[in-house]
Amino acid sequence: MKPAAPVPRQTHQTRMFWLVLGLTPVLLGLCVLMGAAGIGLPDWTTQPVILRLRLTRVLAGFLIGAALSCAGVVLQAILRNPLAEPYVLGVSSGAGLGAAVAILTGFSALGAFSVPLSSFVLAVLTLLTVYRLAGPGGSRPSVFGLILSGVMVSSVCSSLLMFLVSVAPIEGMHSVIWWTLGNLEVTSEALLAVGGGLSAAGCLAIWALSPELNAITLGHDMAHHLGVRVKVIVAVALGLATLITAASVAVAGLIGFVGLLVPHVMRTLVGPDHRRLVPAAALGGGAFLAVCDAVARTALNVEIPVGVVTALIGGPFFLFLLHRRRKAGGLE
Amino acid sequence: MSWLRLRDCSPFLLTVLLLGTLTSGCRKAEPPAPVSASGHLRVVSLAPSITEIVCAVGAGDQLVGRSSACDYPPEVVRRVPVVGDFGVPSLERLLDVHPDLVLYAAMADDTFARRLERAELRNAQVRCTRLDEIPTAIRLVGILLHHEGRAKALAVDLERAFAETRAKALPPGKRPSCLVIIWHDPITAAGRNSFLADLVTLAGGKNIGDEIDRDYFQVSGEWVQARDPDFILCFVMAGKTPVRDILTRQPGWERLKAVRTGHVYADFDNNIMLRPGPRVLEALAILKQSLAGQPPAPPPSVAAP
Repeated sequence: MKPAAPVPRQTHQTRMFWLVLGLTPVLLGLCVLMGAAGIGLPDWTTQPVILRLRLTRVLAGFLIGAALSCAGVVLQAILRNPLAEPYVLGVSSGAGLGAAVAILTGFSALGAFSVPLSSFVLAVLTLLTVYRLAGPGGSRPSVFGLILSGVMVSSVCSSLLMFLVSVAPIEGMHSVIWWTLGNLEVTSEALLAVGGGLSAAGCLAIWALSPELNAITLGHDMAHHLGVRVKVIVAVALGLATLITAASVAVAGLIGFVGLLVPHVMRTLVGPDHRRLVPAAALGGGAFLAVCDAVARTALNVEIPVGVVTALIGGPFFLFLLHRRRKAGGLE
Repeated sequence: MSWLRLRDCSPFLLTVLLLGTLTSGCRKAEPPAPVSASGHLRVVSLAPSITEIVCAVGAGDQLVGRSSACDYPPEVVRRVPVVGDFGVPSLERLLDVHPDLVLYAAMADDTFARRLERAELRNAQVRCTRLDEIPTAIRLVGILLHHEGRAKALAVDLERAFAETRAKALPPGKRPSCLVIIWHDPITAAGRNSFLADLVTLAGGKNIGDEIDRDYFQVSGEWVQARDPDFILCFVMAGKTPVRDILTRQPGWERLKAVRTGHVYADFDNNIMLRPGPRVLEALAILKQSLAGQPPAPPPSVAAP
């Protein structure tokens, strides 16, 4: 940071924060206008179901985008790795495996909750395994150990998923693949209430941890000297991040890039202070996913999986960001 | 201690098992009593619709191989060995039955035809994915298998039946609108370029998926709500999945016209309905009945192989 100009930068970041805050409702409102039934607001009296479906979908996009993005912020702070994202600790492949098992065994036919439940349980089990492997004998898991065991457990889960898909009947395979691409068409409002509620609560809890997260980004030792109980905070924050990731995966399948891209963008806009970064990332992530979903349901005359859209928009944008930062001379 | 002993004898067990499967494999691979004694072509069919056509033109006794999906007519397929799955045949098992001609519809692997040729197996693609391709396919099979007479008669019958049905059809404005679903997760509907769209149109319905220039496509709840079809017809190949319940449980679907009036039908015999073959008139009759408001009779032979 240049010592000469802290004040204007601070005001610029504050201005950006208010911009994000103000722009989010506008974007969400625009999303409500877009849908498969046509562009425009569905009439409340003649098309109540369509309006309701659309509102549910925008709400689902917002909550899940916010959750994934917040989880990304936490994991990038704790693992102190710019490539960390909600799926880095194997949550996605664990959840994917759970969903595939539920779909292919026919457990999914039992109700709207069976696939989410199964993916949630396996996601949490995966995290516990990763955590256990990273810190053998109850010792505090190192950042390095966490990432390494995350990658390993993740690839084991992926191979199991591939095995299941390869022996599955062709139709079941179709369901599994569709699920792994993400979809915000919520099959049950009760599911959204549980999953979305859990995600929102998790985001708020993460926000409450902001000061501790700020200290931890300085390094675990430094944080310890600042009086932060690093071990507890790391465990709680990782637990929260996984919980909200697993909840969103359970509701909408695997949606990539939100948790990686949005925290980075928000950090450049509003600065690294988590007290401001967490709410900005939640709002930005929510708006980003809702917009991507609006594109997914209107770009072609058929549904596109939203995970594909986030990757198509997010990928190039991320590269652009990287390129600009490299030109500016700072590479994290 | 006991598990140790078990482990010791397991190679023996394995060998016995292996030998068992090998010998049974050999027995199966031996040409099952040369059906083509009279100098007829030995034919392999790699698609259920083609198997039905081969039998319908009177060449069922020439079949020496089939796909695992070929299940009709049962008395013929029972004695014909399986040479692979639908669209995914095994070249080795195919060579094992010494066919003179391999008939296929579509392949998962596009290079398969070339591999057949390299193995010096005569082969022909019988395109049969749309309604109007069925008579053509029947004629082609008739010519290839030297059963032209019966094939031609069958094809002419079908064409006449199609033409008569079309002549009696309602004008487009008066037809009941139908949502045709082939998979429930994600909800996948039949578009303009599908066999089911052809069938529904011929039966006097209006497929709402016709506006999409595809064979099958994913739909959202909103898309369905905006079109509010008179009928929802589900042709989902998934055993005992309660597709009807799953669909009617979708948010907002209880307000759809088809759901309110009870016009959601899922108990079709999909081996008839989804197969562009000689039994298409049976499928047509079932569909007409459904569009008249009578639910289809559940398939009688769910347990059949």
